[in-house]
Amino acid sequence: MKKVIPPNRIMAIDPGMQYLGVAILEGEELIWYGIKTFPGRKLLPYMRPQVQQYLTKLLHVYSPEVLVVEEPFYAQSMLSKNLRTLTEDIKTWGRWKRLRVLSYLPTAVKAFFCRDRKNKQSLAEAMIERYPFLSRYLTLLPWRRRYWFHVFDAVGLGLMCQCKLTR
Amino acid sequence: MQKGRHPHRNRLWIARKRAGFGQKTVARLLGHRTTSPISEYETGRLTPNLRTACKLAVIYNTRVRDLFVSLFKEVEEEVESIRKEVPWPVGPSNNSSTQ
Repeated sequence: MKKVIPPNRIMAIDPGMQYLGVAILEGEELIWYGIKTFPGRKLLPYMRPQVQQYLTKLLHVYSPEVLVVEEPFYAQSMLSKNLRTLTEDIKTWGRWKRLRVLSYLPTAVKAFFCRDRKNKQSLAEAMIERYPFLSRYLTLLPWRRRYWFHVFDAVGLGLMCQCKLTR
Repeated sequence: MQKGRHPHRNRLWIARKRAGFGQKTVARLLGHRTTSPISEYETGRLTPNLRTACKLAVIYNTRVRDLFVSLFKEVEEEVESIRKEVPWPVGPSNNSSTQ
C-alpha cells in the first residue's frame, strides 16, 4: 500500500496585546480559527502565562508541527516593546515545544495574496475567496471588522507558510 | 454514544462553521433540547452514534469520513494491520467469484 505523507499541520499566530488571532491549517485546509482576548492589565508578567497556557492547550488539541508567527512591523506595533517581547516569547515557547518556528512580516503576507491594494481589507477579501464561509466576519461594523482582521491575518499567514513549505 | 478518555479529534466544528450554522440550530435539527451534546461532540468528549454521525453529515452536507478524519485513519490502520497478519490474501480481487 502506498504510504501517504500527511500534510504539515500549521499553527499561525497574529500576536497582539489585546487580541491574539490563531488559525490552524492542515495542508491548505483550515481546520480551526479563533481569537483569544486578554482582558485586564497589559503587562507581560500577567500576559505571558495566559498566552502560554492558551497555546499549550491548542498544541494538545491539534498537535501542529509548525508554528508561524507574524512579526511586528508597522510603527504602532514596533513602538510597543511589550508586543515585540511577546512575539519573541511565543517563538521561544514554540522552540521549547519542539515545533518548527517560522516568522513573516505582515507586508510579506499581503504581498503574497493581494494584487494591487496591500491592506488588511484586501487580505481579508483574498481569504474569503479561498474560504467563503469566512465572509460573515467581514461586516460593516468597524469595531467588529477590526476584531476579525486578526483571524484573517492569521489565516493568511498560515496559508502563505503552507504554500512556501510545499513549494 | 461513547465516552472516551482519548477523544478523537474531529472536523465537526469547522464543518458547522462552513455550513454557517450555530450550535443551537444543529441541536434542534438533531432533536436535542440543549446545545451541550453538540459541544461535546465537537470537543471530542463524546463520540456520536452512527445515526447521529450520519445526521451530522447530512446537516453539514459532507461525508462521515470527512467529519471524523482521525478516527477513520485509526480504523483504516487497524484493519490494515489485521489484513497483514492474516495468512491468506484478503482483498477485493478474491471476491470476484461471488455475485
